[in-house]
Amino acid sequence: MSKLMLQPDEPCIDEYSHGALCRKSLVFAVQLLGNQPDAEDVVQASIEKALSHPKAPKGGVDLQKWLYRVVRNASIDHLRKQSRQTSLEDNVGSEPVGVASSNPEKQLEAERIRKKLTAALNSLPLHHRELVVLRDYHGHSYDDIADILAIAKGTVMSRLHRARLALREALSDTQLERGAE
Amino acid sequence: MNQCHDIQELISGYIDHELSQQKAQRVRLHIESCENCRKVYEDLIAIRKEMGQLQYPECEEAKLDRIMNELSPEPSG
Repeated sequence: MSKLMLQPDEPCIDEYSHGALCRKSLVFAVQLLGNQPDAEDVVQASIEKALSHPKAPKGGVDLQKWLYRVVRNASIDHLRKQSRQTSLEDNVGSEPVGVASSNPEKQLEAERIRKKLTAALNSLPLHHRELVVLRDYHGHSYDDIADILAIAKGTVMSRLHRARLALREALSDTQLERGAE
Repeated sequence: MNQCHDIQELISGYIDHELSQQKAQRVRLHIESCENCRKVYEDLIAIRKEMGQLQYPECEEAKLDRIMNELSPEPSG
Protein backbone atom coordinates (compact mmCIF):
# COMPACT_ATOMS: atom_id res chain seq x y z
CA MET A 1 0.00 0.00 0.00
CA SER A 2 1.30 3.38 -0.91
CA LYS A 3 2.19 5.46 2.11
CA LEU A 4 3.54 8.89 2.72
CA MET A 5 6.15 9.61 5.36
CA LEU A 6 5.50 12.48 7.72
CA GLN A 7 8.75 14.27 8.36
CA PRO A 8 9.82 17.90 8.68
CA ASP A 9 12.45 18.13 5.99
CA GLU A 10 10.78 16.20 3.23
CA PRO A 11 11.66 17.73 -0.12
CA CYS A 12 8.66 19.60 -1.41
CA ILE A 13 8.20 21.74 -4.48
CA ASP A 14 6.04 24.17 -2.56
CA GLU A 15 6.16 24.12 1.23
CA TYR A 16 2.77 25.83 1.28
CA SER A 17 1.09 23.48 -1.20
CA HIS A 18 -2.10 21.96 0.08
CA GLY A 19 -0.40 18.58 0.41
CA ALA A 20 2.45 20.00 2.46
CA LEU A 21 0.13 22.04 4.67
CA CYS A 22 -2.04 19.01 5.23
CA ARG A 23 0.89 16.81 6.25
CA LYS A 24 2.32 19.44 8.59
CA SER A 25 -1.06 20.01 10.20
CA LEU A 26 -1.47 16.27 10.66
CA VAL A 27 1.93 15.92 12.36
CA PHE A 28 1.12 18.85 14.62
CA ALA A 29 -2.18 17.20 15.60
CA VAL A 30 -0.41 13.87 16.27
CA GLN A 31 2.08 15.72 18.47
CA LEU A 32 -0.70 17.34 20.45
CA LEU A 33 -3.12 14.41 20.66
CA GLY A 34 -0.72 11.51 20.81
CA ASN A 35 -2.45 9.28 18.30
CA GLN A 36 -2.93 9.18 14.55
CA PRO A 37 -6.65 8.31 14.16
CA ASP A 38 -7.81 11.16 16.41
CA ALA A 39 -5.36 13.49 14.68
CA GLU A 40 -6.76 12.56 11.25
CA ASP A 41 -10.32 13.24 12.43
CA VAL A 42 -9.36 16.55 14.01
CA VAL A 43 -7.39 17.71 10.96
CA GLN A 44 -10.14 16.78 8.54
CA ALA A 45 -12.74 18.62 10.60
CA SER A 46 -10.35 21.54 11.14
CA ILE A 47 -9.63 21.99 7.46
CA GLU A 48 -13.33 22.03 6.67
CA LYS A 49 -13.90 24.58 9.42
CA ALA A 50 -10.88 26.70 8.54
CA LEU A 51 -11.64 26.95 4.85
CA SER A 52 -15.31 27.65 5.28
CA HIS A 53 -14.51 30.66 7.45
CA PRO A 54 -14.97 33.94 5.56
CA LYS A 55 -11.70 35.33 6.91
CA ALA A 56 -9.62 32.29 5.95
CA PRO A 57 -6.37 33.31 4.23
CA LYS A 58 -6.07 32.22 0.62
CA GLY A 59 -2.68 30.51 0.93
CA GLY A 60 0.98 30.74 1.95
CA VAL A 61 2.28 31.08 5.49
CA ASP A 62 -0.89 32.88 6.60
CA LEU A 63 -2.98 29.84 5.67
CA GLN A 64 -0.48 27.59 7.43
CA LYS A 65 -0.68 29.61 10.65
CA TRP A 66 -4.46 29.71 10.33
CA LEU A 67 -4.62 25.93 9.97
CA TYR A 68 -2.28 25.36 12.92
CA ARG A 69 -4.39 27.66 15.07
CA VAL A 70 -7.60 25.85 14.14
CA VAL A 71 -5.97 22.40 14.53
CA ARG A 72 -4.66 23.41 17.96
CA ASN A 73 -8.05 24.66 19.13
CA ALA A 74 -9.78 21.55 17.82
CA SER A 75 -7.15 19.34 19.49
CA ILE A 76 -7.66 21.07 22.83
CA ASP A 77 -11.44 20.66 22.47
CA HIS A 78 -10.91 17.00 21.66
CA LEU A 79 -8.73 16.49 24.73
CA ARG A 80 -11.27 18.25 26.92
CA LYS A 81 -14.04 16.02 25.64
CA GLN A 82 -12.11 12.96 26.64
CA SER A 83 -12.84 12.21 30.25
CA ARG A 84 -9.29 11.12 30.78
CA GLN A 85 -6.00 12.31 29.38
CA THR A 86 -4.64 9.86 26.80
CA SER A 87 -1.61 8.03 28.08
CA LEU A 88 0.81 9.28 25.47
CA GLU A 89 3.65 7.06 26.62
CA ASP A 90 1.62 3.94 25.99
CA ASN A 91 0.32 5.01 22.61
CA VAL A 92 2.40 3.26 19.99
CA GLY A 93 0.71 5.13 17.16
CA SER A 94 1.99 8.45 18.42
CA GLU A 95 5.62 7.48 18.44
CA PRO A 96 7.93 8.80 15.80
CA VAL A 97 9.41 6.08 13.63
CA GLY A 98 13.05 5.13 13.42
CA VAL A 99 15.44 5.93 10.63
CA ALA A 100 17.33 3.15 8.89
CA SER A 101 21.09 3.21 9.37
CA SER A 102 23.91 1.08 8.03
CA ASN A 103 25.46 0.97 11.51
CA PRO A 104 23.32 -1.20 13.82
CA GLU A 105 24.94 0.07 17.04
CA LYS A 106 24.46 3.66 16.03
CA GLN A 107 20.90 2.92 15.00
CA LEU A 108 20.13 1.31 18.35
CA GLU A 109 21.57 4.25 20.23
CA ALA A 110 19.63 6.70 18.05
CA GLU A 111 16.49 4.68 18.68
CA ARG A 112 17.07 4.76 22.44
CA ILE A 113 17.55 8.54 22.40
CA ARG A 114 14.48 8.99 20.20
CA LYS A 115 12.31 6.99 22.58
CA LYS A 116 13.55 8.91 25.59
CA LEU A 117 13.02 12.21 23.81
CA THR A 118 9.51 11.19 22.75
CA ALA A 119 8.62 10.12 26.28
CA ALA A 120 10.07 13.33 27.70
CA LEU A 121 8.20 15.41 25.11
CA ASN A 122 4.93 13.64 25.83
CA SER A 123 5.39 14.17 29.55
CA LEU A 124 5.36 17.95 29.07
CA PRO A 125 2.10 19.81 29.65
CA LEU A 126 0.38 20.77 26.41
CA HIS A 127 1.28 24.47 26.72
CA HIS A 128 4.96 23.53 26.79
CA ARG A 129 4.83 20.70 24.26
CA GLU A 130 3.13 22.80 21.60
CA LEU A 131 5.88 25.42 21.83
CA VAL A 132 8.71 22.94 21.52
CA VAL A 133 7.18 21.17 18.52
CA LEU A 134 6.23 24.40 16.75
CA ARG A 135 9.78 25.74 17.12
CA ASP A 136 12.09 22.73 17.12
CA TYR A 137 10.16 20.38 14.83
CA HIS A 138 8.11 22.65 12.55
CA GLY A 139 10.69 25.47 12.59
CA HIS A 140 8.36 28.41 13.12
CA SER A 141 9.69 31.81 14.15
CA TYR A 142 8.72 33.34 17.48
CA ASP A 143 6.49 35.82 15.63
CA ASP A 144 4.65 32.98 13.87
CA ILE A 145 4.28 31.02 17.11
CA ALA A 146 2.96 34.12 18.88
CA ASP A 147 0.35 34.42 16.10
CA ILE A 148 -0.60 30.75 16.19
CA LEU A 149 -0.94 30.57 19.97
CA ALA A 150 -2.23 34.14 20.41
CA ILE A 151 0.39 34.97 23.04
CA ALA A 152 3.07 37.67 23.29
CA LYS A 153 6.43 37.09 21.62
CA GLY A 154 8.16 37.50 25.00
CA THR A 155 5.96 34.76 26.40
CA VAL A 156 6.98 32.50 23.53
CA MET A 157 10.66 32.88 24.46
CA SER A 158 10.25 32.46 28.23
CA ARG A 159 7.77 29.57 27.98
CA LEU A 160 9.82 27.82 25.28
CA HIS A 161 12.90 28.11 27.45
CA ARG A 162 11.12 26.57 30.44
CA ALA A 163 9.85 23.77 28.21
CA ARG A 164 13.34 23.07 26.87
CA LEU A 165 14.76 23.05 30.40
CA ALA A 166 12.09 20.52 31.38
CA LEU A 167 13.13 18.35 28.42
CA ARG A 168 16.77 18.73 29.44
CA GLU A 169 15.95 17.63 32.96
CA ALA A 170 14.04 14.61 31.67
CA LEU A 171 16.98 13.69 29.44
CA SER A 172 19.68 14.37 32.03
CA ASP A 173 20.90 10.76 32.00
CA THR A 174 20.97 10.61 28.20
CA GLN A 175 24.09 11.30 26.20
CA LEU A 176 23.02 13.50 23.31
CA GLU A 177 25.29 14.33 20.41
CA ARG A 178 26.56 17.79 21.16
CA GLY A 179 28.07 20.42 18.97
CA ALA A 180 27.95 24.19 18.91
CA GLU A 181 26.14 25.82 16.03
CA MET B 1 24.61 33.99 40.01
CA ASN B 2 22.10 36.74 39.19
CA GLN B 3 23.88 37.25 35.92
CA CYS B 4 23.54 33.53 35.14
CA HIS B 5 19.81 33.71 35.90
CA ASP B 6 19.36 36.70 33.61
CA ILE B 7 21.42 35.13 30.85
CA GLN B 8 19.79 31.72 31.04
CA GLU B 9 16.40 33.24 30.29
CA LEU B 10 17.90 34.52 27.03
CA ILE B 11 19.64 31.33 25.95
CA SER B 12 16.70 29.96 23.97
CA GLY B 13 16.31 33.28 22.18
CA TYR B 14 20.04 33.20 21.43
CA ILE B 15 19.85 29.67 20.03
CA ASP B 16 16.92 30.64 17.82
CA HIS B 17 18.53 33.90 16.61
CA GLU B 18 15.63 35.85 18.06
CA LEU B 19 17.62 38.31 20.20
CA SER B 20 18.78 41.82 19.40
CA GLN B 21 22.44 42.13 18.46
CA GLN B 22 23.20 43.64 21.86
CA LYS B 23 21.51 40.88 23.85
CA ALA B 24 23.05 38.19 21.66
CA GLN B 25 26.48 39.66 22.35
CA ARG B 26 25.80 39.57 26.11
CA VAL B 27 24.82 35.91 25.94
CA ARG B 28 27.78 34.99 23.73
CA LEU B 29 30.32 36.64 26.05
CA HIS B 30 28.74 35.06 29.12
CA ILE B 31 28.61 31.50 27.84
CA GLU B 32 32.22 31.78 26.71
CA SER B 33 33.25 32.39 30.30
CA CYS B 34 30.61 30.47 32.32
CA GLU B 35 30.85 26.71 32.16
CA ASN B 36 27.42 26.13 33.72
CA CYS B 37 25.54 28.33 31.24
CA ARG B 38 27.60 26.96 28.35
CA LYS B 39 26.50 23.46 29.35
CA VAL B 40 22.84 24.55 29.30
CA TYR B 41 23.39 26.13 25.88
CA GLU B 42 25.04 23.00 24.47
CA ASP B 43 22.35 20.72 25.90
CA LEU B 44 19.55 22.81 24.41
CA ILE B 45 21.29 22.85 21.02
CA ALA B 46 21.55 19.05 21.18
CA ILE B 47 17.87 18.68 22.14
CA ARG B 48 16.79 20.97 19.32
CA LYS B 49 18.82 18.92 16.87
CA GLU B 50 17.25 15.66 18.07
CA MET B 51 13.77 17.20 17.92
CA GLY B 52 14.32 18.17 14.30
CA GLN B 53 15.22 14.59 13.46
CA LEU B 54 12.03 13.00 14.79
CA GLN B 55 9.90 11.30 12.18
CA TYR B 56 6.25 10.48 12.66
CA PRO B 57 4.24 7.43 11.63
CA GLU B 58 3.23 6.92 8.06
CA CYS B 59 -0.12 8.06 6.80
CA GLU B 60 -1.83 6.02 4.14
CA GLU B 61 -2.07 7.99 0.94
CA ALA B 62 -5.79 7.29 0.67
CA LYS B 63 -6.37 8.81 4.09
CA LEU B 64 -4.32 11.85 3.21
CA ASP B 65 -6.30 12.19 -0.01
CA ARG B 66 -9.53 11.96 1.98
CA ILE B 67 -8.39 14.78 4.23
CA MET B 68 -7.06 16.82 1.33
CA ASN B 69 -10.33 16.53 -0.55
CA GLU B 70 -11.60 19.14 1.85
CA LEU B 71 -9.12 21.61 0.42
CA SER B 72 -10.01 23.63 -2.64
CA PRO B 73 -8.19 22.66 -5.85
CA GLU B 74 -4.67 24.03 -6.04
CA PRO B 75 -4.07 26.62 -8.73
CA SER B 76 -2.41 25.17 -11.79
CA GLY B 77 0.85 26.50 -13.26
